[in-house]
Amino acid sequence: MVFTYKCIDALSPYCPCYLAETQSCIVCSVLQGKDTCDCNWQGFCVYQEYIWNGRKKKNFRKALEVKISEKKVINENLAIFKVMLPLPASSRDFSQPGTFVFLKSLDSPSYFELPLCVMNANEDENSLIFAVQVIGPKTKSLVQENRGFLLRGPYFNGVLGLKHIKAAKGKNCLLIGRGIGQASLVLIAKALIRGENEIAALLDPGAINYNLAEDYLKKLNVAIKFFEKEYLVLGDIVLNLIKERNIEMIYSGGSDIQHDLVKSIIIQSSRKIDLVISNNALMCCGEGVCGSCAVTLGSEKIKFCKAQLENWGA
Amino acid sequence: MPKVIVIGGGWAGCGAALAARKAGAEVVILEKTDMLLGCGLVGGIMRNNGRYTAAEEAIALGAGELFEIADETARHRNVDFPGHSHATLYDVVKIEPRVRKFLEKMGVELRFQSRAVDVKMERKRIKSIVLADGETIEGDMYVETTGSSGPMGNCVKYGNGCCMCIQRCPAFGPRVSISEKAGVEDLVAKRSPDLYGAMSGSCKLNKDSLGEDIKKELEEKGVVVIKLPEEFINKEKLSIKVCQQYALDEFAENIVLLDTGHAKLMAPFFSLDELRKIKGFENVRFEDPYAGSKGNSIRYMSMAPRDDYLQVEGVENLFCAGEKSGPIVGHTEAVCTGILAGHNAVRKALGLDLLKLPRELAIGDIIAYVNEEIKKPDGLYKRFTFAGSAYFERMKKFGLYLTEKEAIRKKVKDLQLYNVFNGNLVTNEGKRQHDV
Repeated sequence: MVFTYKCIDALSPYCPCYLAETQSCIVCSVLQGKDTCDCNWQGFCVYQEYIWNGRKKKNFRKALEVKISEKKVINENLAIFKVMLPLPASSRDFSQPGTFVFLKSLDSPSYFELPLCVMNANEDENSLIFAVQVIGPKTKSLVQENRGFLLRGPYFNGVLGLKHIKAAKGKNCLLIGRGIGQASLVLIAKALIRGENEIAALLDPGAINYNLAEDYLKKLNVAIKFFEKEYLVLGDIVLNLIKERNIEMIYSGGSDIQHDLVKSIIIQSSRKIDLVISNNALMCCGEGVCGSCAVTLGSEKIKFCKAQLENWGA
Repeated sequence: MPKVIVIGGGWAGCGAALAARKAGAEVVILEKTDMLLGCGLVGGIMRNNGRYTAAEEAIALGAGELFEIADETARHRNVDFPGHSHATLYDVVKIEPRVRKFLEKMGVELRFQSRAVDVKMERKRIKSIVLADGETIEGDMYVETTGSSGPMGNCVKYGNGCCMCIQRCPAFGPRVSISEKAGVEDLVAKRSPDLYGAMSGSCKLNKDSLGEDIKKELEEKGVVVIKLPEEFINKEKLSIKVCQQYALDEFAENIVLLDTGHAKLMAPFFSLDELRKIKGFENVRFEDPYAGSKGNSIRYMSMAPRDDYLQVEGVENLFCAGEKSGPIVGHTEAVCTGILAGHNAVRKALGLDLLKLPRELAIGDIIAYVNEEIKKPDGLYKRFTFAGSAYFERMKKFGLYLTEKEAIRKKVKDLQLYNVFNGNLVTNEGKRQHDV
């Protein structure tokens, strides 16, 4: 099977990027070192942009010092931070569904950088909210911080199937969030509300023992249900909801096991339902350079920090 | 009924659709833009020099309707301009709707803004064409007439950048080589060892922006030749031109304008600042390419290896025509190769012997000759056309250049090929219709 994808950074202020400079662009054949055009068309010519820009990359994401204005330690596994963005950085640029950043505490070395989903963005305050699940050395170091972080971003490829969210209008949507995966639900719910979609959410506290999206979603008038930790139960609940609410789009925020389960439920329902999933590839640089997020699909190595996959069944 | 999918709705694709439909197939044209004729939308020159012979051959062979439409739409007939005789200049503003209505009436299905981007293969056969929106289109036979120019990256790399030509890649997306997607490597023309492609040879001015005197003369005679001031003469431009028939000193030393509805300026591009210093050109502006001050499209970037039946080598059910079938320049050349490719696609679908046009005919000879030449060491540096340069010389040398309609018709009849493209191969169960 051939996988089709767009580059999430194409048409953004960050294209052409380092990959163009190193002849590794994921869409342009000429910027892969080939002689002639055979691109994965993005609606514009990346090579032309590259030439116009003087054969070099455009803007690159700089690290910003951000102040922590609020810190809530929910339990030993979970902390929630509100940070203030210094101008000219604008929280609007961090408010698209699937936006993530790299964070580290101010004095730790660069390899402490941690990819983290933007849970909410407040444009009036120019603030961002992050939830951190304590897992290993990087997250342990991060939750001890009280003053501020070094933030690098925005990166945009945190959810796969973004086009379904952007195109959804007047649809019945279901958001499923488990554990820290719930953090990605809020910006998605906000985008869907702009499209006048009906939203229901299914939440499970998972390993963080806390439904962190609950309050945010309630404020957005999203109908919320909870599911127990057993995935067997989830299958039945989702199948019932699909029928009851005539669900046309599902977002799965959680593990790949959860994604697979949801996908199989959609197939079982034999309805045409758009599936959007959280991107769980391991992000390290976010720029397509380090290779930590690359997955070999078929004959192609796909860099999941850049590739907005458009077909994965369902 | 066999189904033939034609990819690309330029002159070659229209020719292929016409011939395939006549031969009895169900025909679909997939066109990436919103209009037929491709570069023919800004072309206009027919029947100059050896093209006259080729057009009459096509008519005698039974598939000359597109030439007849061009004749009916002509603004000027029998025009001579430097190096060229008896040209017909069709009206580029009027011809597309006529061709469109004609093909619709023939029963050809036209699908616009349908850009082919990939193929699904079954061993060495194309099973279906994939469009940019993911839709797949299945047929029995495929004719690729996607041309060889652009897209933008090629024009940036080998030309002066995207000049916003009639192909409108930024809006409708890039041309994709279907033969290459089917696993056949493209041939790419060269103009020096490390430079690929060649630049389109003419740009078009808005006729109303010309001075009244020039406009009047142009509309009366069809052609205006104005001597260029010494400082504007740039012979280097000739070497980058794809159209070797117009790469004559006269075209560097003069401004040659032809009335095709636009004022066709026979140079690949021209600095507007310089142009406006010339009397009568003080207020001119470009009609095509829109950025005609800086360059023009790059062509011959994607040609398929093929045999003399115009079947693409290595794919069982793919034919090609027009620029896709080799460095063959021009609308007449596109239509003539198109009709053979479309006709042979139906023959192939029905399991009949394919038709090779004999070398006694200019059309048959150029198809075979280009195939021989392109395999020579410097083959990819050459371009061929009925209208001039080396191939027209060859036509004259071997007696292929005829301008008497009756003589051409007689020759075709003597070759037992009169009206050969006019028979329905499906209902006649493959028997050729001879009207000798």
